Amino acid sequence: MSSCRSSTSEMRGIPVTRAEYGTGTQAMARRLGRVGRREAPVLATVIILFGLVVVPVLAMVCNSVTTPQGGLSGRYWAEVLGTARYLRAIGHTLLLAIPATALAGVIGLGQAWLIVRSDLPGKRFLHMASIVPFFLSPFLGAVAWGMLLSPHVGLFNRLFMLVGIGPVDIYSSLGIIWVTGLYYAPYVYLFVQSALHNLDPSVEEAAAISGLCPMGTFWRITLPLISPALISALLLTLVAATGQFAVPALLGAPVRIRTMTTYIYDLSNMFPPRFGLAAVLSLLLVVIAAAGLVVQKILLGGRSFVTVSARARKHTVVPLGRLRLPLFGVLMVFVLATTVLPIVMLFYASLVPHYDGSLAFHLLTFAHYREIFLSNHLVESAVWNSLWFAGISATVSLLLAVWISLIMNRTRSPLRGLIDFMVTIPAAIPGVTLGVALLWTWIDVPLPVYGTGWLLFIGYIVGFMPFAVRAVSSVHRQIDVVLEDALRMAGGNALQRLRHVTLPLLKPGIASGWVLVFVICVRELDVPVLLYSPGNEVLSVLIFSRWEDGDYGMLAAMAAIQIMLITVVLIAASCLFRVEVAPPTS
Amino acid sequence: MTDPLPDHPTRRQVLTHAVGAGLALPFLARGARAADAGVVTVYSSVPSLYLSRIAERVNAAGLDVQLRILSAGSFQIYQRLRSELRTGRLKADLFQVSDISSFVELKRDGALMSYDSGVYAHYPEGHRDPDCTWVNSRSILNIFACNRNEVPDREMPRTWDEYADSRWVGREGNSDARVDGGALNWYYSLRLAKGVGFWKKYAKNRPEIFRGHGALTNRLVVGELALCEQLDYVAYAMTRGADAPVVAVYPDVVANCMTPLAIMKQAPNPRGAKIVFDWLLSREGQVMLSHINGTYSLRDDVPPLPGKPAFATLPVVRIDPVDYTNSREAMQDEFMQIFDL
Repeated sequence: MSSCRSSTSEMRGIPVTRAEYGTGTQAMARRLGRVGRREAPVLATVIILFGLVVVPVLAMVCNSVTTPQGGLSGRYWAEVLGTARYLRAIGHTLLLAIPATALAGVIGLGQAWLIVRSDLPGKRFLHMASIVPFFLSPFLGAVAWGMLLSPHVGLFNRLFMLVGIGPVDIYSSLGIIWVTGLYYAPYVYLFVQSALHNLDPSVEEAAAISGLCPMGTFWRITLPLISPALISALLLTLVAATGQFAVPALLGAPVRIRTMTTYIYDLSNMFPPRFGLAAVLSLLLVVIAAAGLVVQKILLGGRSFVTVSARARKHTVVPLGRLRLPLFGVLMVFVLATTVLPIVMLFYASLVPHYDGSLAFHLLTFAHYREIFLSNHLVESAVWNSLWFAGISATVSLLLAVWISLIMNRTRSPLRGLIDFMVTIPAAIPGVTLGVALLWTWIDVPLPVYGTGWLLFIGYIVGFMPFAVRAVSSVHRQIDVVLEDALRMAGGNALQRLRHVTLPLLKPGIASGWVLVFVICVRELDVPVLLYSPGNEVLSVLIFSRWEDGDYGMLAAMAAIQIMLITVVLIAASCLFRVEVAPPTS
Repeated sequence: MTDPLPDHPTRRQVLTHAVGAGLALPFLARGARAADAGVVTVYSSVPSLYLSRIAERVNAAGLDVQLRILSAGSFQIYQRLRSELRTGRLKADLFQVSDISSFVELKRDGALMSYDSGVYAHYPEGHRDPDCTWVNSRSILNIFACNRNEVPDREMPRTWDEYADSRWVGREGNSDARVDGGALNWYYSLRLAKGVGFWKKYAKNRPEIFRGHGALTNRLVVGELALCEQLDYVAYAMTRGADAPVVAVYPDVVANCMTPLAIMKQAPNPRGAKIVFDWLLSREGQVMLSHINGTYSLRDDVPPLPGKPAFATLPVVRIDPVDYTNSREAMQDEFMQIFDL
């Protein structure tokens, strides 16, 4: 008995006093009861996460191996793996995602090095401009790029044709790669710029003293040192690009470039639906994404996240010399062309009666905005719904995130690994797959969830909880436990420690996490497009509907409102709460 | 351990609380709005652009009901409805999609309410169910449309065979019969009228395939497509309101796609559903619907829209709803094969 107790204590690393042992079975029962009480909240968390995250995945697995009559069958797997069109879709998915990831890597790495390490002017503006695409929906990006690079009427194509180039066709594999790469470049940028900031400058200084030129230092010292962050960023980008639905749906589907996500959407939305096939494709996507995340975890496994250091880090700025202004010009043109101009195009399209590819400034009108604010209550209600769902989802996600972070960082529960795993699962599930899985699950659950706003709310929570948890957890890991121990020794109980030490220190993570989840919920399309119900329409769903209706004027006006909403929230967060808005990078 | 006494609030704190209150407003406003009574929900494939306007009119008509809408593709909506019926959690009071096969199946399964409304007498045979479970609330026609800047008048095709001519390779488009009810109806009707050979010939042109007619329209208007299969009301809306460079061509045969309206037997609000059903199919409702949507009303006392050929003069392909229902899945698979999707 004694050895059993001690081994358990040692295994979990919990200090046990002699008095706690007691004698005989009563003491054992008391101890188990205490452990049970201590583990009960953790166990409850596991059960909630299991219901929210794991059950929908299991529903997907069930759908992939059961026939409509209820029998077990491997026919859907055989059909997907044995049919040319689905194999082609798998191939397309990877052939689009890999180059898009490479493009995002080149753009993100280049921007990060120039902004963090060089003596480029206007760094603050360039930093903000580099992360803007993260806060815009890739769907809107695809719409805007459709306007800029349409083969006949696209603004860029008209300019290209003036100088005898083109036309470039955005409705092609290259178009999809271009738009996807641009919209995921901020992922790489944020990871790499963070790694460059955290890099110990003494290593690079030593290389310079040894006679290496700046480029040599970059290739032989800097790049290998930031490679874990870079590889992690590339893997996460690959996972996200593989699960991207909106861009290939807009730019690829009409010309028969079909990816796994567009097939999943179509197979789920035809009648009779082919859920079995959609489930198999979804699971294959999850496998691809999970493999990426596992590799990322392995790469990050041994890294320390504690960044408190006694030594101030002042990096040497690399002088660009004669290239300084030309490189600044190139970066400004790139940022304006890829970030600012697409937004300007959307605003322009919202101000003309009917966008037909021409620039007709004499026709500018607020008719679409008048329609939205004065006569179309559905759009007005969608604006309020977007604010409501994003606000409440961000708040609840953050509450959950703080709780989960406390379990992960301040307990020694053996269930921590399981919780970490379950929180990571949604990050490996593409939005469109997650939407389908949640729909299948909740329609059969005898609770008043399906057909109400609750389902959309659950979709947002499940889909974006990983962002919230990472935002809070990355700050939590940097807080030394000594601070909480000091209050404990002064007689403070757990609630007081939370209120007076942990929460005030977590405030930056909570604020940035809230803003991040709020913005993602407002811009997100893949999850709500499948989960909304009448009366709960959100802006992104109506924007998608307007695209299906071919009403680009109203689409653009609603997109402009969405962009303005996001901008207001970001500015308010930055001014009032001093939130440094950037996706968490750990 | 006590908290320090709060000082006078700083400007930052005042601003923070003001923003917090601002963020809370929508939540409070939403709570206040949640007390609607007499809500009627329609699941419809009428594009949300038009459906939201129709709902505004219904809600302003003093019917003492609040119409809520769910708009999506015919099959997407039908699938949702079937799932709700299967689990006994029906949210829809009214059902309206451009796919007659859905109504054949729902009636077969006893899911539609038989409602002996006075409006039935105003609709011709074939456009209403003899057992009073549905009425055709609008008719849409599958025609084709050309961009007049891309296709000069003398070169404009006039028949489906000319439309399928190989000179249009890479310049055509159509909607996807797997997910769009109107497109499936078009595929089935032209297959009846012209045989599967027509489709095989047309598919060789590698037309662009879109989920719905809206996105197709936009590509036509900007001139990326020279011509495309189109719904008559979409082409009508393009020329009526937006003065787009689009010409609607009514070819040798046209497919008529009905959009029946029915009340669900398990409707959560059957009283409200009947009120909306009667109003939408009344003369007033049909005039409103055909004006907003640009579609044909088959009701006997609704005048035709200006600038559209009379429905009776058109070479409409008649289909057997039951055969159409029974061959739906096979048609979808065939479409997928022929168009290499």
